[in-house]
Amino acid sequence: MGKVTNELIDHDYDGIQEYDNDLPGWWKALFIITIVIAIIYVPYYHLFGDLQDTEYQKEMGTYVEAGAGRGAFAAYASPWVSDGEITPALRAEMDKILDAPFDEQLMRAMAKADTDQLAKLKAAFPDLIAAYGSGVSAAPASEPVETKEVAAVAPAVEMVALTDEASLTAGKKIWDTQCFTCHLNDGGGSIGPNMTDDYWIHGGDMASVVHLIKVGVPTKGMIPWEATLTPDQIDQVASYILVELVGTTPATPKAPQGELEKG
Amino acid sequence: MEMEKFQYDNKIVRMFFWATVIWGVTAFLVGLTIALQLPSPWWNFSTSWLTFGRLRPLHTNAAIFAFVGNGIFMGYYYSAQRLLKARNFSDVLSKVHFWGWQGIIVSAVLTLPAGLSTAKEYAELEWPIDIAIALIWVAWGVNMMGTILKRREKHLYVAIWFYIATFVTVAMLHIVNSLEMPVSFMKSYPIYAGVQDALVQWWYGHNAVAFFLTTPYLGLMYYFMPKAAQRPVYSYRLSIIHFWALIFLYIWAGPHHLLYSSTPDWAQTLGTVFSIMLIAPSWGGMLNGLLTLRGAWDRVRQDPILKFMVVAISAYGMSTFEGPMMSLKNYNAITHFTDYTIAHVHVGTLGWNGLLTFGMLYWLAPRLWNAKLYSVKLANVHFWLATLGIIFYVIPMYWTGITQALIWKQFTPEGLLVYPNFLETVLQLVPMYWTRAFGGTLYLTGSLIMVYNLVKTARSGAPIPDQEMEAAPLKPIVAEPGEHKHRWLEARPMYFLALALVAVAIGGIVEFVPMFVVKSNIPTISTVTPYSPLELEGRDIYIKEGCSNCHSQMIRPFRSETERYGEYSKAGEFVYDHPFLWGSKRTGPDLHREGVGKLKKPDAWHYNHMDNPRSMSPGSIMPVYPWLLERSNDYDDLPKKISVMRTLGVPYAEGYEDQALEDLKQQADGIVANLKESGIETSWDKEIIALIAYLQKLGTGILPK
Repeated sequence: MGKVTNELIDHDYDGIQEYDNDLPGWWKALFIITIVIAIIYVPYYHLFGDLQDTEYQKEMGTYVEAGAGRGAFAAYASPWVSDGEITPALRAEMDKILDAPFDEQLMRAMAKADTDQLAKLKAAFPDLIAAYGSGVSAAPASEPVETKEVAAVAPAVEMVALTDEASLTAGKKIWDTQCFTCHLNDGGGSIGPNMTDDYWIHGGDMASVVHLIKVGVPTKGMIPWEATLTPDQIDQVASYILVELVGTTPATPKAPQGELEKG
Repeated sequence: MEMEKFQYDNKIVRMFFWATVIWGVTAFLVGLTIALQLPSPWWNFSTSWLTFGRLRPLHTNAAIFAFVGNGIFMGYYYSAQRLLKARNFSDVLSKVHFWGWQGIIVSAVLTLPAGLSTAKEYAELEWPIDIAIALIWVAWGVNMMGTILKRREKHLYVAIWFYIATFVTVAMLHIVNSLEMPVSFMKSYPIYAGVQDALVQWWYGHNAVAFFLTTPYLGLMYYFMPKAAQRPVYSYRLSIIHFWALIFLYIWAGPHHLLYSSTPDWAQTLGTVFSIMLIAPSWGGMLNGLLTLRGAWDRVRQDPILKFMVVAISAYGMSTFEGPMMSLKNYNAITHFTDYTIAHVHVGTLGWNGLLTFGMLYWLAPRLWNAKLYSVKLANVHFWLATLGIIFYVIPMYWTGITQALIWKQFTPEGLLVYPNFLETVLQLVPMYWTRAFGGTLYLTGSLIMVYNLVKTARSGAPIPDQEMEAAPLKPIVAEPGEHKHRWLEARPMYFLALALVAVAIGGIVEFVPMFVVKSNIPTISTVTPYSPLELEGRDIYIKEGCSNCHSQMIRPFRSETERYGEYSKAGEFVYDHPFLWGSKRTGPDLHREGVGKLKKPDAWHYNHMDNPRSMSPGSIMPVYPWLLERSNDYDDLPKKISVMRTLGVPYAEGYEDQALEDLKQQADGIVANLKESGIETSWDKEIIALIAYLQKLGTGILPK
């Protein structure tokens, strides 16, 4: 406490009087401390620390190094933090990377990466690099990316639908909570296509169905589910479609779409 | 010295007294209604007028401007006359002030539920009402300054300082933030766009809290607290320091509402550091209030009025400490967009403003009707119901806020979001929403008991007539030798007014000028285009339905957000957004990338979802919007909207007004055709079509054309 004299000042307002007490010492100290903190805070972030874009890049960068899943590309491709105007060409380049499914993002980033970044990527995603070949070498960032080559890389493994009861039950649960909004509970289709007939727009084998669920068809409204469902869950729901739904008769079937594929 | 005879106007105090009571109960009732709508959307009875998006602005406006506003004026008209030893400058102005203010509130009650809104928080009222507010506010200011100039007390007491600062600052905030260009009688667009609009809005919004809920109530506290406690104010010097520090620092802190957003880092930093520096000045008020009770604490136990005041001041102390903490980046990363903020503001409004108002009402009633308070016991019951109500309200909301923030950010070891579906995170909160509604019920019940108690008190007495007073006229003001500088200032109200204006203007000027002048603050993105006519109309429906009350459009630069929603939001994406629609609370998911990437949904999904959200998202707590499917829009205002937008800087070609409707129709036909593929028959002029067009546009600005 400052000096507490409890001396009244010789005036009153409608009977209200005031003491002439000093400001409490701890209050003054608190005020000074907060001002000091404020003064330190500015250089702490603006000179020595990270502002929010850098902080974000680091968060994503750590993620790449930790070798976890997808979305790892902000560290290599963030045109928005550059100072100058973003040209449509630069924008388009970035979007090719950002809009693509993760496997493609990875391949493209590898194609654009310098030696250091390439080493990091290889260490971070050994499985994927093994699966898609390790023929990519460091390339100058300006070199155009061969998109077709990457897109042509489809899973070469023969995939078979799961038939065990636990998987199918799990698949049904996912169907009944997520997929039904567009394809209906019985698979008859409404916003999305009919899943009970033998017509397929993007292929009716297990590998194609799994791939489609994973990457979606965003332009048509099919969500890419890879951010929401784990690979196992995607296998389960794809199996549920192929084993349980195909061949049933829904209440209000939507007209067939795509190619007839009789398995 | 010859004494002058004059009278205090007590009638105007009684008028504001009942207005405070009536609007208070109304604000609590609307608040309880929307609290019930969160766990159970059926409480809107499927009526467009009663949906959450439209009622929430009514609740906030009623609480701030109707309940607290009338509370300010009630306390002001009682205390200022007595502190200045003068009757109000003009009885006509007092009446204009009273009826004008009630008229503004009634117009809010009529227009907000009708969806006539600017979408700017606590400034939702449309332009004709904005003008009325400015006029009535100035009427009060003239009445106040007039009274001060004809006062019979040489020096101004600290309460009057706060009233002056309130008047001048709110006038500045309201006028600058409400600059908008009318399209029609009840539709306008703000002159600011995107980041700039956000900065101006939160400069206003934050300081509506500061200069409508805080400074006038500190003024009231400085009168009613020592009166009720019958003790001198603890420290005159503390009053001086904390008053000037508070009004100078407060005005800078607005950008703390925009941490981790597309606002430039330097502005965010200003928001943070000025919030930290505000702790001590805020607590200065609390200290002077609580330390005034020294030697009177025994009476706190018996006197419900003092109880109300003590808890009110404590709530003030808590929320003014919590506010700066929420302005720290690391803490804000968790609390922002969640119910934590809701808890924080309700400690302030229910605690500080509510309880102090109740204390004033109980103190004033016997004095205005010359009667004993009907029941001290009922006042005690009210105190406990209100206090428990606050506790049952805020604890679940703090809990909810932290819970939701943590589960938003939770990742599996594989790097996937544990709760990728936003709805899952909402469903966790439903039990807490019921608990909060219970707390609100207690608070409302307490206030109804108060109404009964006050009516009984008034009936048992009779309105006291205007009091006869006698005082010596003011001698000419001359500087006295050895007089303290502040003492000198207290005798010169016009200097005081000017100095207060300078103190509150600096922060805003320093923040706005660079934001409007320096281009690099908002880096352009060449692919961002103006809204098409149909999208613009859809955006107006989004505004009308108050969607931004529950959905943000601001993806923050965190992995947990970009993983859920897509690329984080960039300043350059909002340059055509008059007004900005970033929102301040995510009851539903962020919508900024709704039209792009993994969140994009088919037109038919939106159509069905608006008709009944639960058909697409089982368990969703979003209200149904079947009227959007039914209502047709004639688009008569479209050419005017285009030309207003062009005046505001949106690059629509000259003469585009004539072509806009055709383009609108063409885009609408495309959506109608899309819907038809999914078996939905509708026509191009339905509101839903425009809304779908807008939702599909969201976030596409960063896509290559």
